[in-house]
Amino acid sequence: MNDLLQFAVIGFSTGAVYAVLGASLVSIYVATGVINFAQGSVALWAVWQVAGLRTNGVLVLPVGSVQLGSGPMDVWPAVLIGAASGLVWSLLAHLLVFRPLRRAPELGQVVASVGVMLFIQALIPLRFNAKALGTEPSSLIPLPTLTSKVFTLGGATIAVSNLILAAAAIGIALALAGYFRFTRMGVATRAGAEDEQALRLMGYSPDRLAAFMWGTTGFVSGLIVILAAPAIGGLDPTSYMLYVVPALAVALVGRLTSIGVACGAGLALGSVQQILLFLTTKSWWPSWAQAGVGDAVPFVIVVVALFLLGRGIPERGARDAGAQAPVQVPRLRPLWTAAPVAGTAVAIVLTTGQWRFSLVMSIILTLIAASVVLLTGYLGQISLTTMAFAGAAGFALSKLTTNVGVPFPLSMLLAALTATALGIVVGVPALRIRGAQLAVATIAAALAIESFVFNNPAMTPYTGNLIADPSLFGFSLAVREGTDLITLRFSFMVLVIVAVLLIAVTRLLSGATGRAFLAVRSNERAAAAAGVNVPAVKLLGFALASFLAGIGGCLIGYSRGQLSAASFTVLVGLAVLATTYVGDITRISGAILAGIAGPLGLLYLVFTQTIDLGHYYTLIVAAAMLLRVVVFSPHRGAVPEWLLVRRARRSPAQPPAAAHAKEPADVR
Amino acid sequence: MSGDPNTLLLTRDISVQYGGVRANDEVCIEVGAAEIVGLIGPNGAGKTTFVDAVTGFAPHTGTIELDGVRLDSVPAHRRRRLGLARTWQSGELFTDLTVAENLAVSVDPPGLRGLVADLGRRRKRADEDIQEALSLVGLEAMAGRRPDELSLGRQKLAGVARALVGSTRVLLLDEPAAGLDTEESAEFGHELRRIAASGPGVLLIDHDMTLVLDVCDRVYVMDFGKIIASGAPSDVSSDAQVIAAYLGSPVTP
Ligand SMILES: Nc1ncnc2c1ncn2[C@@H]1O[C@H](COP(=O)(O)OP(=O)(O)OP(=O)(O)O)[C@@H](O)[C@H]1O
Ligand SMILES: [Mg+2]
Repeated sequence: MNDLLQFAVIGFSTGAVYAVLGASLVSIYVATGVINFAQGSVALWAVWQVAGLRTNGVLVLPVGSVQLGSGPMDVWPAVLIGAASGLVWSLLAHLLVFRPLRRAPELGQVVASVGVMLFIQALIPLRFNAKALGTEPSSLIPLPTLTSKVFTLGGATIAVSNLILAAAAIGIALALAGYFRFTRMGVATRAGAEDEQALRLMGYSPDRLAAFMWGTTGFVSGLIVILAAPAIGGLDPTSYMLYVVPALAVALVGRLTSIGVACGAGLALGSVQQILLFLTTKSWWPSWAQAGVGDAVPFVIVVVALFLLGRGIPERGARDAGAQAPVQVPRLRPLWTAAPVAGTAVAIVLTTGQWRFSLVMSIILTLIAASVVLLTGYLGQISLTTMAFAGAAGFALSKLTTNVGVPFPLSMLLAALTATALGIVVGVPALRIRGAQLAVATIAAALAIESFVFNNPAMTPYTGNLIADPSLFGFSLAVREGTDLITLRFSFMVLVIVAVLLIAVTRLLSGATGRAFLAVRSNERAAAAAGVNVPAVKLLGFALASFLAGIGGCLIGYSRGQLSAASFTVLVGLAVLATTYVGDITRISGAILAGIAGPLGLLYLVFTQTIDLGHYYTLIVAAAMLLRVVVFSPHRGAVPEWLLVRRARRSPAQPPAAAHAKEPADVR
Repeated sequence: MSGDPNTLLLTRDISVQYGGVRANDEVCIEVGAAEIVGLIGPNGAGKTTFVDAVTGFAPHTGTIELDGVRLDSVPAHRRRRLGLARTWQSGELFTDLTVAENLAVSVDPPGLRGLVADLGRRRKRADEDIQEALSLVGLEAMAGRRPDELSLGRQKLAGVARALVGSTRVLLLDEPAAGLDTEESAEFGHELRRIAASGPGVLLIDHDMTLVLDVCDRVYVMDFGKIIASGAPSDVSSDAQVIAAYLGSPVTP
């Protein structure tokens, strides 16, 4: 019993982080309607900022760095500056990204916040380098900020710092909730989320109120993570960034409206995870479930909360999907299909080694991006699970080929069908939730799959998850032969499989299936009234998309000879979404561009081999994604709209109708 | 009330509760084959709610029968496939599809069979059905256009065509003429007569009294979720209760 108490209190450290990030997410949602996936990344910068200051007094900036004082900085000034850096990042994100996008469709907003998340995440290792810090970044640890006192209570050893963290989280949540409930500005902010015009009549600028909220949440998120970092340990960028997933889970438990519930749920989740961690060490706990339970819990919470929250068919007056990127229904033209396939075949023959390998990776990524086009571009379901489906298939392929010995084409088919089954399960929440909330559910699913399956030692033998080379009728299709890094035969096999599947996808999207997808994307109620079985169509979309991703995952697996968990992380998944969005998420040709630009594809090799920009790859992809959504948006983003308004003002004779309806009131 | 062999749609005691609002209160309505029935009432009376309930978009109590088949626990898309089609007060076309493709969604069911059909031989799209439905509302020339290229009135008509295509038995039209001018509205009345003459029953909701009183065989009047009067158009238009209900609400076009 006292063990349980002890672990429950230890859990307050991560719990406080979930609580404050969750409360921040709710606050931003209430004020602006944005679900900010970058909340964890903003806090991550703050943690590194403090680490830099307390190591030798350097203030690392996005460009350059400043030496403050001669040695390590004291605790509290460093903490304050660190939290302030969270404020600045959050405010910048608001001004440069979210404010221009405040009328954009949800997909645009999700893509933007994922872009901000990837951008900060990629910038940190680049900026906090040995040169700026004066020491190896890997040697840094978060130095303690709070007291190290402990006391015992009923046999349990309790660290005072954990109680302070919980109290801080509760205090922050109370302050945020109080702001919305009791201050005039807070009440106005809530009102403004529903009716900006009314807010202006009351004499408030919706923008300033939103900016205040972004700044405040950036500050408190930074602060709590800085305080908790020594207890939760390490400075690993990815794990901090992903704290946003449990935080999103608790924000949803609070129905994205209750800060108090989000805070309570956050603290409870932290405790439950620690207790589970403790229980997994017991002998009676099944060994296969020792890893990853901590990540599975948020997923279960998200799914249950969203399912209870959601509605089968959106109500009358429910928030519309908004203007979406227009879609051109594809037409299969023999020449336009044959030419790129032939060109790629020639390129395969002409290249060798690394270049051919990257080319083949690009072909595979095209297939995976096509699955994103189908599910997100056409059907409008924002899914961040694509790479997890691919990885799950690769994982199944390894088991099927090495443990069971299933022969080649069948093994790949069965593995892809495993991913399909998983896709249908992950698609079930989509029956009742939509838009950004679905993105939350799917990223939680991706994280759960990653840690429960790929990174679960119980499911991976010491030798790794080996994948037997494919062969057909005794004819080897192995990727390697002698010193050849990648054989012609394997490359052609990939090309044929991908080309056939892409043609099939094009046929589907240009037929009744594509029409039904687009109908569901643009209006679920009207689709149902037109006789479309909306739930079935959504599950069909998830099934097809996960099948395509699954084949892609198998091909990646074959190309490595084993399941490389690193190829299928949540981060890679986000990068695939990013490149597909940049390429054009509503077209198969966009998938091809995404394939070329995707992780480890051709563009990546060009970066590393010719201009030595490999380190900057993710940063560049994230920046491209942000530019694409904010400036060159397919649904006509802020800047083109702004230009239209300006042009309309100059020649008031023909005001463009759309520009008038969407005219941002603060343009002067 | 029932027992008329011509009756296609029969609702009994349809009630819908929205929070504290009883948006429909024991509504009983009958629509016969080839008949145009009007449903009128002031703003907020519950007309759209009734259509929502009948077509499966609002949780309701009471029973709905289409040609003797109980529909009240059937999901919305099945009701459409069984021949109970509706339009929306606000158009609600699929913005990414052309007008003809909008109609095609109602004709070709997606699903596993559709998947195979898409992959293999092109299925013969029911082009004739689509053309016929479009010509019934006078939009043949607009088949290849996108909804946003059409005036609001024409978008509504395209919605009517989408509801009409396929084997529609009863058509529920929620203010289909709201975007049309007087002339177009009269033209639409003729089209409606032609549509009904070809078989389906029509329930017409509209605030345009001239249209409703002209084309309808019978009219129901709804106020505060209840049917307060019904009968031939001439009787209803002189009913004191009906006049009171309309005068008690903001003037409607
Ligand atoms: N989804 C909903 N949730 C709560 N109340 C609703 C909902 N839909 C409609 N109502 C309420 O039900 C009542 C009936 O509305 P309804 O839209 O059916 O009226 P109507 O007769 O179609 O009006 P109009 O002529 O303006 O179209 C109104 O009081 C409305 O506010
Ligand atoms: Mg209505």
